[in-house]
Amino acid sequence: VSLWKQRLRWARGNVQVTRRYRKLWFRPSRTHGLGGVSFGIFWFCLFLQPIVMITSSAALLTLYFGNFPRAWLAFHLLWIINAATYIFITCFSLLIDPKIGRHTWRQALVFPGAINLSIIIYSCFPRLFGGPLRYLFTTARLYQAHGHRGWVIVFIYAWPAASMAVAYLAKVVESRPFGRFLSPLLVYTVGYGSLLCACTFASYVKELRHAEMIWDKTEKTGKVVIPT
Amino acid sequence: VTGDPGWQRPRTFEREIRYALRYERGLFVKALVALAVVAVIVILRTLYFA
Repeated sequence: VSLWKQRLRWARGNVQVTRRYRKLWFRPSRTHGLGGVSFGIFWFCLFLQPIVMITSSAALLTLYFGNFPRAWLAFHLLWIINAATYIFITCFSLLIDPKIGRHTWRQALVFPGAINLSIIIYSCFPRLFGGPLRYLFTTARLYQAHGHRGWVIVFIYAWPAASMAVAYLAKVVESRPFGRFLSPLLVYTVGYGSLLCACTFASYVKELRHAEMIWDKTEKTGKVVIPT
Repeated sequence: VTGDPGWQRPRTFEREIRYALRYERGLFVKALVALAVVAVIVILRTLYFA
């Protein structure tokens, strides 16, 4: 909940900055750097990430019901790009500070979440998992005409958008019974990126509703021990 | 500024610049290593697991 409060505060700040400087974006100027094209691309890639995730899911699902082979191709392209980005960012981040990397490599590996990581591994090495998956789907009667077509594919296509809802659930259940166990479990399932996207989406809603702008201070209760 | 002889400042500045450049060069090499890992996985996927 503390993390959610903090990130929501930051995300609402981003929405306010985007709105306040709306006449400056993508208009290069000699007096300030806000109008730079590259800066604008970086900014809006992060700012619009929830919309990108929702539209990706919507596009894949539309293609799935309309033109399955194209959906399958688009899905592979999307996840191969995701896999390459994940491998590059993870390797580079760990290499920047190898001493810290030795202590944090497990967290770095599961950063995208268990489900996204499984999809990434499958996208990289489909043949390696094709046999066992086909057996699993056949025995579970999920295997149909187009490979793994069925609710599993629909689930995977819907996952980018659905993961944000599950990330929100991680925040909601924390104060409920078994929340201390369930909340981290859900966060590790959906990944940190989806959690941040859910925060950004919540910030859109808060700003659209003109919610009260309070600091909602984060109470820091963490007990992090730095190994020596 | 007192107690900071002027002739020492350029030397300190040069040392800082050298350190910063070494760090930036290190980052470049690390980025190349990370790209090489991506390339190896893409090649492996294309040749054996596609």
